[in-house]
Amino acid sequence: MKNPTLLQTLCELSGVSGYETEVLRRIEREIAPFCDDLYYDRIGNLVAFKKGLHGSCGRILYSCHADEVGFVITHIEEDGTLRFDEIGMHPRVFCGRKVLIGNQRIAGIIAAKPAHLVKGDERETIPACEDMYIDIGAKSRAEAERCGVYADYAVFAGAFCKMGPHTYKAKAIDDRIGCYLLCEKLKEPLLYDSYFAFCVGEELGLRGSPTVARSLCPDLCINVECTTAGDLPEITDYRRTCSLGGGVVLPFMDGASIYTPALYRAAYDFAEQKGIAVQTKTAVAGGTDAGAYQRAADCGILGIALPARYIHAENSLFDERDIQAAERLVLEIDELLPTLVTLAKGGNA
Amino acid sequence: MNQNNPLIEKICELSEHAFVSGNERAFFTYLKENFSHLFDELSTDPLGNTIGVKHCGKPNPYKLMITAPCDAFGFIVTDLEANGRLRLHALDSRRAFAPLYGKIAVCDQTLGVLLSDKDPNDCGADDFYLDCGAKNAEELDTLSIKRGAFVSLCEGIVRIGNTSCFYGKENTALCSVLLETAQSVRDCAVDLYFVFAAQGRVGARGLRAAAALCPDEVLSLAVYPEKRAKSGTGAVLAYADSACRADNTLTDALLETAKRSEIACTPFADVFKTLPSSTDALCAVGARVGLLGVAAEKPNSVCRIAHDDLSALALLLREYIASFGKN
Repeated sequence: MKNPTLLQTLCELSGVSGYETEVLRRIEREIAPFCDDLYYDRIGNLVAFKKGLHGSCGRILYSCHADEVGFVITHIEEDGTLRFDEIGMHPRVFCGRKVLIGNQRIAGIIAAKPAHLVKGDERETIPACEDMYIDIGAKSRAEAERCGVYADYAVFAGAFCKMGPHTYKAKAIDDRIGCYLLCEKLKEPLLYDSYFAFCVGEELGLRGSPTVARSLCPDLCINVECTTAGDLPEITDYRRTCSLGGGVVLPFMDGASIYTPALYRAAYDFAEQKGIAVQTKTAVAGGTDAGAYQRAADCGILGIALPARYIHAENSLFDERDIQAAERLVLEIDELLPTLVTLAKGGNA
Repeated sequence: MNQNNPLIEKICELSEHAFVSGNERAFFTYLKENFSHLFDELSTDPLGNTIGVKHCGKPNPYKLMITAPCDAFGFIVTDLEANGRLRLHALDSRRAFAPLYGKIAVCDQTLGVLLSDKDPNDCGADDFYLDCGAKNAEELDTLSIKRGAFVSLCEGIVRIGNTSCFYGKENTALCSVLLETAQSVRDCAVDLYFVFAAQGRVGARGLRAAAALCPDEVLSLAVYPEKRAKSGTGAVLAYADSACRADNTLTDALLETAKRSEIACTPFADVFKTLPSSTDALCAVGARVGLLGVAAEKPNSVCRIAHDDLSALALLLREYIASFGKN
């Protein structure tokens, strides 16, 4: 991995959908010296442009999303506990987790009725969001407000660290890995003029990317993402989708799009020829901004993804060898851009 | 009537091919080779829509779009399993169980039988596999099949009297109506955009991209389930689908056209909520949207459509376009 410090920094920032400023400002600082143009659009996406050594070979867009899953505080109870709603998650990953609230990073624990007091059917079910609360240790509403809690957001507090010889854990690797890979790419000389979009609101339902699609009208969009790896004991065969250590993922389909078949095939062959470890997804799961680009800009779409276990939860696991493969592919794919643009303009062959 | 009906002949011809969702480039190639003479321009876009245009030659012409989904039901290969099976994902889970035990083909080459370990009624989109005779991964390797390959049904259509059963290819009937309409219209006073929309079965995605053409008016064609509309009652006019309400004045104009020309036509007030639709994207660019089509018996399995209904639909389109006058 070229720059683990940057990846750690990006993962540890807070950027729940709708509150991406902290992440975007950090990215802006990181890439500003390397861009020919850099701006925020009206919805809040950060868009960069960098000239290539050979000029233009079509309108090329690299895209990732800066937001992460998390919580919004909806109400402060009289007893000082906080009611919340989730963004992009399932309640099964909530209970007992530490969260950080707002810009002040007030620590709290997501809690529900304790196990000792749960009876009957309640023991077999996962509490719904409305049956849980965040406990920040405040004794009253007034005390919570004095701590600085208001209508605010919260993120998981999962720390970035290495586990075992090749594995890391972090929160928000979906999609800070995309932000990281595009930041690193922008620092290198490019062969062809390219746009880079760091989008907002993906976890809310692909909300930021259509604005980029309509304003830039790309011929080709390369969407850099994180994807779910299901190489777990209870998941067998094709349901595993993809595996840690299996290489960078090139998907041919997900819940939001069928990636342009010719682009998928060309990129897969390119990666194999280059000796880059590559895999695809063996089950159709999830959905990304690529679908929004395909529909809003009617452009060719290619997905590049890092496999990670337990995404949309407090801690995700990922393999540094997959990151190395993704770094190589994202950097070296410049060589393939003229071919990809030609294929993209030719329809979904 | 079928023997010399050019519309039914077109349906039979198109149904010999399968253009699975996501792989509609083959549809464009086929149209370009066989029907490009019907249009002034024929092109495809990156998502896979095929767009045929007939220009009227006027400056700033009125744009009338007629659109129908062009994709056939099929599967995509998601995994090559150690036991020699090909794991498949159904591209439209509403009808996925229907072709079980039928003959299917990967990339129009490798043939096999569609199977599942589950009861047909319990099958989800990922519960299918193809047995193509390979006993293990090594034998599968020799077939050079890759993940992401498209899989289509081998069955064409079966004609029963004055009806046809389509087995996942009913969109070919609508596309044939579009082709028949394009052939019949000459010297129209408006620009006609015939959009054969891609990825209709996986969320009506093509229509969303086609909205970029910014039409003034759209006639969106669909096959409606017979539970709501009745087969054999002519063309169907819907007042709403799952994404938008049809434009009232446009619907009235279509009804008036049908009445004047004595074309069998049935209006339906029901909302066809089960049909994925993206007509809201067309409304969003300011187009007036009309919803019409034909009714089908058992749309999620054999999908039986009456030929007379298709003929009525084609006739209604022709007469409606004619109502704009000639150049």
